[in-house]
Amino acid sequence: MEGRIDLAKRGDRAALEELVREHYARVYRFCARRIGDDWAADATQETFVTMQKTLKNFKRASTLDTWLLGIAHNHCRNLARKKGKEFQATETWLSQLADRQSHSVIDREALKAAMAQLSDEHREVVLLHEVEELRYADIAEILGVPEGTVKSRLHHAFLNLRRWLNES
Amino acid sequence: MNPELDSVLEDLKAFVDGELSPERAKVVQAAIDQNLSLRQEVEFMKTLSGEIKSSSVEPSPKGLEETLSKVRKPVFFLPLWSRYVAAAACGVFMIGLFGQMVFQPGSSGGSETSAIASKTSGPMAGKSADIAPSESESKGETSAGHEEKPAPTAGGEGLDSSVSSPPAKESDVFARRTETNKPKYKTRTQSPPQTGSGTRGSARYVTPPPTVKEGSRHVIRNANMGIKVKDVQKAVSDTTTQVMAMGGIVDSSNYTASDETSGATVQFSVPEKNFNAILDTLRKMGRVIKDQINSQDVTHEIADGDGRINALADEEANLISELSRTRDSYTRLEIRQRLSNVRQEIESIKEQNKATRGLAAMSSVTVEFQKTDSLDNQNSGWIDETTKGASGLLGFFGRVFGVGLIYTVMLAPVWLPIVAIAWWLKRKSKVS
Repeated sequence: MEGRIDLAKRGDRAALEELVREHYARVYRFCARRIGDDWAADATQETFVTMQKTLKNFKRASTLDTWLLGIAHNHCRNLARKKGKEFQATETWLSQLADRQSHSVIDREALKAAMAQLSDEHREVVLLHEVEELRYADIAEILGVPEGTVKSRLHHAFLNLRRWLNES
Repeated sequence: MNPELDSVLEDLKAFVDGELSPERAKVVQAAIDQNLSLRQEVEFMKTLSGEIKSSSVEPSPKGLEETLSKVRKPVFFLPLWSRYVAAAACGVFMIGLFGQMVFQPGSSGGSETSAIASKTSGPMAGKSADIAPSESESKGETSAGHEEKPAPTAGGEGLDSSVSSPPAKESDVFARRTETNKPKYKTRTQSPPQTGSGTRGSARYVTPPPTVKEGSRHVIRNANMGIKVKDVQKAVSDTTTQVMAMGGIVDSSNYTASDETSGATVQFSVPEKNFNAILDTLRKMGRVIKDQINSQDVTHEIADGDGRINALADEEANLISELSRTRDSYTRLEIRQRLSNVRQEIESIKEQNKATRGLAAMSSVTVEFQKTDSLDNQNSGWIDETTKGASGLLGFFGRVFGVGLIYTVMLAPVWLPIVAIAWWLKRKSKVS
């Protein structure tokens, strides 16, 4: 992996293509969960074009995956603003939650309603941690906030979810 | 509430996610083991996490090939800071240009030209004695020659030396201040004339002195022209004929010829009213390589002289009156002496005014004719003119660009830190 990044930094097209292929699906899903399937391809493409332009600035302070998701996060937010779409729209993934039929302990409709009530900041960390399965440090890197803030937001998000689920 | 329990509750989610340090995890684990509600909380969190994870959508990636084709193309990317620097530099550049255009002393219009012309000659009236010769020269004044050696009414000798070689410094200032003001008057000036030298230095466009309202002002005007012609003798003859037809006279004429070249210098005195018409005629004689006009406003000098005459006339009348009343021989003798002095002074001033008026009535035109080189014929004149015009314009743009660049560089200590701070703030806000 490290070798490929170094090669891509030096302008090796093959290495760059390999990096794109390797991370494409992950970045695409990340984007799709934020701005929807319609614009996910555009945002993903922008993310990799930015990667191509700024890969030489990648200092390995985080993993390439996290770094890419950080870029994708910004592109998705900008694209959503430009297109007048809601960033991390509830329909993008809460509706999917409700559609899924599985053996569920928690009422899906209640969960959907509770998630909808979360603030954007709380929903954002829940999405990044529970769905994207990112660690606190990576979330902090992507959002540009201290790790303690991520921990706090997640804690309060779950407290709120529990309260609203109990109420329902 | 138990503070310890609260602290454990806050760390419970992190404990479930495995994000606590081993030491803290041990403490939380111990608390969970001892507290049923905490165990239930942990179970709920795990269940909720599992629900969310299991329900997350998994969209099928699309557009991989398009992205690959996009990244295969080489890209040119300017870093963010360079955009800030470029924008700031452009801003400073434009401010510099604007400032240069607005606040430059010579850019306020044609009146500035007029002021300079007057300044050159204005202090002349009755003050030449107060000005040291060197100072007078440095100001480009011609008063000394006029007052000490008044020229005849139609003559131009008194003007010749001063007009044909104006001080270069004043001429430069005049040219620099006027070249941007009225570009429609395209005349050219060169270094001071040297008979037969054939100088073809870089020509500059200057504005001729302002037109003065006839009758109300007295202006001595002098022109110095260099013209390349095919036949010098014919040109001299034709010019003389035409100038004389317009009321001018030939003051001096000098023709020189050798195997390789020939040239002539002719000096005319021409009526002020026909000055411009004669210049236009001369410009049509051949290719103009030098076209220099100087003007000197002597209105104040004449007015000052008239005023002094009036004052002296009053004094004369007083002395006459006093003379008639005085019987003492010695006193009468003294009054007569004073009366004589006053009358002499009146006559002197009258003559000076008369001479100055004469100079203003007749302008001086000096023309240097040079034979055109065999290759440098008349037909190529327009190419030369165009080339010079274009190079002049290029020089102008170069100067404008240079001015902007100097402003940008010199003001870098001001705008660069501002840009750096703006960029840093932008980055900071982006991160947060």
